[in-house]
Amino acid sequence: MDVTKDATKKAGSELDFVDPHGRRQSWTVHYGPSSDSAGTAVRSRTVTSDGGRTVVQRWVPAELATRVPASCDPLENEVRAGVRLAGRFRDAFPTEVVRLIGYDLDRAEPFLLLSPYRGVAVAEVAGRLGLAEQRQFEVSLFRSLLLLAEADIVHAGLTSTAVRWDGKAVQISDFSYAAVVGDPRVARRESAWASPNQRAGTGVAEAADDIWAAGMVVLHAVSGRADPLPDLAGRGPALQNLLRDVFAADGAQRPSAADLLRRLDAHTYLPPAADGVQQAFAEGRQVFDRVLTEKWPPTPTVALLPAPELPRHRMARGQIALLVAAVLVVATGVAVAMALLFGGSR
Amino acid sequence: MTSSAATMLEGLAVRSVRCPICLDTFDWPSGDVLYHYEERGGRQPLAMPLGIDELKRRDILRTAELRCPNPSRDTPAHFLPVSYASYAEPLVVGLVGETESGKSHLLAAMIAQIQRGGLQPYGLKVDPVDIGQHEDYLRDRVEPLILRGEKIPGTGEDVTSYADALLITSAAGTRPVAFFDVAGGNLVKTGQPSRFLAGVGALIFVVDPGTALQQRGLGDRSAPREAVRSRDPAFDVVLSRLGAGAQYLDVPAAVVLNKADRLRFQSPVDFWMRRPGNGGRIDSRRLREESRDVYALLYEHNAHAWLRPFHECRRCTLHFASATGGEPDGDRYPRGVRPWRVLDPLVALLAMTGVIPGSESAAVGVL
Amino acid sequence: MTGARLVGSGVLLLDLRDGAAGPAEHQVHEALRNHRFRESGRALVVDDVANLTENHSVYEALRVSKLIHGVVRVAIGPPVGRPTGSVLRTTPVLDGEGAATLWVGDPDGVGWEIDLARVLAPEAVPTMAGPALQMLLDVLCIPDVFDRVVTLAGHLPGRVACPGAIVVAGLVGPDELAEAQARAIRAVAGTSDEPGLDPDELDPLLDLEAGDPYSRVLPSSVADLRYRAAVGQCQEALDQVMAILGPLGPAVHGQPGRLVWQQVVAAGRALADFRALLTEQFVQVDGRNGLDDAQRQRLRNEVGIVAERPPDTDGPALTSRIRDRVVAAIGGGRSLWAVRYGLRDVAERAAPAGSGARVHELAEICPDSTIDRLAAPPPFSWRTFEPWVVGAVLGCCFLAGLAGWPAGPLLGLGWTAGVGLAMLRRPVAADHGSHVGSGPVATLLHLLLGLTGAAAGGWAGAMVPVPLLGRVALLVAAVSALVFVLRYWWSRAVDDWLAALALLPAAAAAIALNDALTEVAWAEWALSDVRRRSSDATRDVAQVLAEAAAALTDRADLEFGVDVGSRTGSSLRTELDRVVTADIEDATLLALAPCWDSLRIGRANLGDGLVGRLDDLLADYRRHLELRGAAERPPFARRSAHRAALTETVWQSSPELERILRNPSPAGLMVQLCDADDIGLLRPAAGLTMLLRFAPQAAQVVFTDETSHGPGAAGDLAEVLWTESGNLGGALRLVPLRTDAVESAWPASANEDYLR
Repeated sequence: MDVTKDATKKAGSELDFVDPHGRRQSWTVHYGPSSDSAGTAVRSRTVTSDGGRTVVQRWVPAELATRVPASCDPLENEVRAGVRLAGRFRDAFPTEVVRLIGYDLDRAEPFLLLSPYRGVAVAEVAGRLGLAEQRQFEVSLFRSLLLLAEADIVHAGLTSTAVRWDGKAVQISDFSYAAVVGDPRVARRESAWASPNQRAGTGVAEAADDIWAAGMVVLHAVSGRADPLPDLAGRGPALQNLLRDVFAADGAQRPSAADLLRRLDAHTYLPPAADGVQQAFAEGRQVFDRVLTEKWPPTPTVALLPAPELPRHRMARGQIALLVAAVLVVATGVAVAMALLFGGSR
Repeated sequence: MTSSAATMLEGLAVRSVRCPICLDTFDWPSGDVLYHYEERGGRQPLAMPLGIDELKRRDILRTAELRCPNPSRDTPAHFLPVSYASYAEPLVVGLVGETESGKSHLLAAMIAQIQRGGLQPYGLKVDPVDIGQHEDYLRDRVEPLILRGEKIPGTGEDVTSYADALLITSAAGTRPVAFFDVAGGNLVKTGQPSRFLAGVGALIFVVDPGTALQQRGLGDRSAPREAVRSRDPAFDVVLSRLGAGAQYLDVPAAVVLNKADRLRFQSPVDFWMRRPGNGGRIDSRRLREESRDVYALLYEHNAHAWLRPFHECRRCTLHFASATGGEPDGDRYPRGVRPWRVLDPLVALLAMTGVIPGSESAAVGVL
Repeated sequence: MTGARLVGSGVLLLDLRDGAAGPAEHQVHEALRNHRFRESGRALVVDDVANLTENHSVYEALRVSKLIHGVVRVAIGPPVGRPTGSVLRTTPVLDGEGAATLWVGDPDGVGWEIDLARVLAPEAVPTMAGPALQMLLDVLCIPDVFDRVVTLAGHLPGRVACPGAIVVAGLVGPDELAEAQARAIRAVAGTSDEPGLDPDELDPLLDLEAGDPYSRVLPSSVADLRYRAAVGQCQEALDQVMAILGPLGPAVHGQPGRLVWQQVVAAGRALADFRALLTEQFVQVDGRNGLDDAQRQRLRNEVGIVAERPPDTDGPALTSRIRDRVVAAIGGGRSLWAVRYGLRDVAERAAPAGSGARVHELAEICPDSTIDRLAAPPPFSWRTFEPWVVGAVLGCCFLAGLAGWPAGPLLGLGWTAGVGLAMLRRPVAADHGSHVGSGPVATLLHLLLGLTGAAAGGWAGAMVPVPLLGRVALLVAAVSALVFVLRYWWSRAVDDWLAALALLPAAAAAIALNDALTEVAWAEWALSDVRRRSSDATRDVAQVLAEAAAALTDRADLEFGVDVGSRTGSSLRTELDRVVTADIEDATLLALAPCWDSLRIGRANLGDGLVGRLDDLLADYRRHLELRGAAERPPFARRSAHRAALTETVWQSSPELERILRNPSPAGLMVQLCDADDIGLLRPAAGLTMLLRFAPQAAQVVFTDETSHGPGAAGDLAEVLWTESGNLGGALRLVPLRTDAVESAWPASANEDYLR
């Protein structure tokens, strides 16, 4: 049952999908015109439901999805990130991140639905933000990274087009390359915005990958030069202070999103996690360990005792006195000997 | 004029063996007619000229087959290599699960992955036991599913049926590994299951997230099942028949949460589905971590019935896997079939049964 | 086309063709109101022969206008009555002084050589620079020529004539001009990949940042007190330690050791207090987002920092600072892109980092270790029983003993007194009791040592009598040796302690902290708002420049094509490029001028209308180049030496013009602006035909140069009109019409006024 083929019909079409919390939804919708996003298989268009809600649909045409299964990978990544974010933030979903409304990736023409885009790509306002707006932008950008890191998501594709700005808050979009912290990195040689490790595709994804890319976005936003170099030499003091260590080669050396927010004097508040289900999961892990321990009672092992600390040599007061006495005796001896010598010569 | 099989087999050691297909025990080699399986013509009686050169004779015997005597006459005709007696005791692997759990798909995907060389990184060489039956299996099961993306029919209710058997050669020697589909239900009905259970060497318990976690796929457009199930009859029957309860069973087991693609956007499945294979290295620590997460996920959903194998088998690992990588739409998989992590449970079992030797293998399923 | 336009340096060109009289009159009034040609007062009116009567009202308006003192009417069209010989039919409105009417029977004209009565096709006339009518109008737009034509018209019957012309244009042809414009526009705009200008050249606050930050800190403020305390305490501690090191060391000067110790601790505390105050204020005030009044007040009261905005940095002043630098940069040949990038860098650099970002500097200037060393000084390590001292005491007392009674014991006692004094002066922690307790014991032991040595010496002296002289020598040697030993022994200990305390570096750190405070107070606090405003303003200006650059590039692409042929540079081209580039720069600056006003009053969209203004100016300039050439200064441009150089280069090699200028006869071959058939309507009598030779002033030098043209070169050219401007040179002749060629007539709609 492929409903999207009826897109051109005037009458609303049925659209079945699952929302990020796993609930089935069925909307009657009207489709807007579609647009190709250059370079990728994913297309997008606006979708308006009968309820008046307008969302963005991103989809891969059926023919392509069947012929090249990898063409759906961007959608898979987006849904994965979207579901993770929804699971972490639930009702307190942050405005800084584009929100996944629903998806169905198991049909011939896989698709997902996103909350509508806000603002314009940062590339379009790069170099035009005034100081106050610039700071607000930076706070919002790093705040969004804080939120992603909280959900263990690495966007891995932050650029001045993926980050949008509406004058108040950023909106992170295009999670096509998104990974979960610990995923093996996918090489992105062509991306000038990615950290060296990401470009080479070595190691595993970490939140610091996004810090690098966000640093590049900030540089672009400040300088307006579309080809920023990951270099702070010659930059203004404010920028140098803000982006200190952001372009460290080693991800561990880079500041975290929270560090950057502190540098901006901004709060690092996070909505509390809805933890009811998480708790049961954590409990399950503990039970697992307990059962395994019961099955395999531990065999006693010899614990290594730490080597006793050797007492440090220190001269006691008594020893000084002894030394003095010895010196006295020797001195007296010398004196006596001299006296005898002189006496002898007389 | 050709020689009789008896003369042909001269000089081969005779040993009592168990057939991995019918599970009967008999002396081997035995039989009258040597067969040879040919790609095109199927199985042909083998004519060997009298007075053939000894070296040539041995070469022919290496690929020749004899019909299994199958003393209990309960299995259709099948064949074993002449050299079968030189192999170790067969490892019988039972796939336990309900009809809907996707056992058949899982096994077909496993065989397909093996066929593609999925076990090579672990230093394993794989040949079929009965080439004919293996070819049939590939043709009837693997190809429709993997190549054409078609749903393949499950095995019948309450039936324990042979699926395929492979000769797996490692540094430790060659071991026949036979796969049986165990539907559970009433295992007492026929005589064969009891024999199967007596000889079973490893178990793969297949969990269907549809029943265990109440997670239905989008493509599954059937009406929701009426009642929440709290037990899995197949698991229960097999475990009780093996005498579980009093003490830990020493049959290595792997619990597979199949159709994990449905859960691929859920933590922790979203994490595990992207883990790369670790290049033919057994990593007991990682297996344990994955097991812990599978356990916790089932636990979180109160699917305790499906955790029985872990509680009752001493060595048991748990896995996320997806035989098809997606949901069917009717009888087809619209986006093709992309198996995920289907070999990991088998590799864990092979490690636990010693087919893959090594100290790391010894640590699999152990604290 | 009906329109009014002010061309070049002020001839109002009115084109009344195709226009009804009413609207045209209205337009004249409009033009008179709007255009700033009061200085010139010249109106060149182009009209249709058939309309002259109907447009009477227009001419009347021009005639009576106080703004106009010269009108040249160019009437175009065939004669109104060829068979009757009447050419024009008009009201007599323009037959007074200050007016002239030129009849153009055929815009293309005809080549006519009066001497030989030869008529040629107009194309056959050599060196004619362009279409005859256009040339005529261009020439008349040169004010000098205009004025001369009006004067000459006085010699013509009815102030009417048929013009003939031969005009040479400068060597710069339309193609070259177009290319030069395209090159110049691109050069002024620059390209997006060029490096930015050095921000120092553009930074509006450069002089401020180099200003004197010390004037920011009020004396006797909290910060200043703490600073003085830190430095003073360090100084005092240093003095005291130095005092116990004095010439007689422990014996004479200084406080007891306990007090010295306390002084060192106090110095450490003062330094710590000072640093803590700075750290607190650095974090709390910050200033990155500007300072509010409360913060300024607080700074003044609590830290004693005057964070007032420096003078001459309010909005208008800042705008002027930025404008001056940008204008200088663009006028100095920097491309808009380069200036824009430079401004961006300035904007980025100007953004205050906030004092919070510099807290870590405080810890670097004055590390914890510096403070800790003073707050908890290392123990004064005076080793009471150093072997060499013991040996020296024994030895010296022995020698003194040898010198005879009572020298030995006395020296021992003296030594003991010295050691005892030193013990008292030893700096020790106030709460360190036991160390002091060991002092008397050690002193007694030293006494014992001395006495032992003395006893041994006395005994030895008893055994071996020493001559008196020897005794004295021994005593002197022993005493001086011991004095030296005591001094050296003590001062080495004090030196070691002083080095361990690092009091001097601590004082230096206090000074450096104060420097950092004043520097931060200036750069991050006092200048906070100014820097923020400067950052925003320079960023806005950068954006405006980006828009201007884009508009320029677009225009160049649109009008001159994307690729410009690049010929090898001749000196002419170099000069031309220089002049045109400078003009485009000036046009750009003029278009930018309103942006500065917007910036001054803080309007949001600085770039409003910029593109339109720029387009208008460039269009005007293009027309100017086509009509008047590059050698004439457009109204918006600066005067430049390059322009004169260009004119010279242009005319240097123009023998055609020279030939025309040196020929005083009006009867040569020219393009007469009438039909060949109408020549009969003209009266080319020798005395009545007026000739006007003209050339750009710049060419005068070229043609009258006696070294190249021989003596008297200037003589032939005495009557030549050297125009102030223009790309054009040549000759104009005014041939009078037959006597009855002009009919008087009144418009059909004429009312009584006209007939008075």
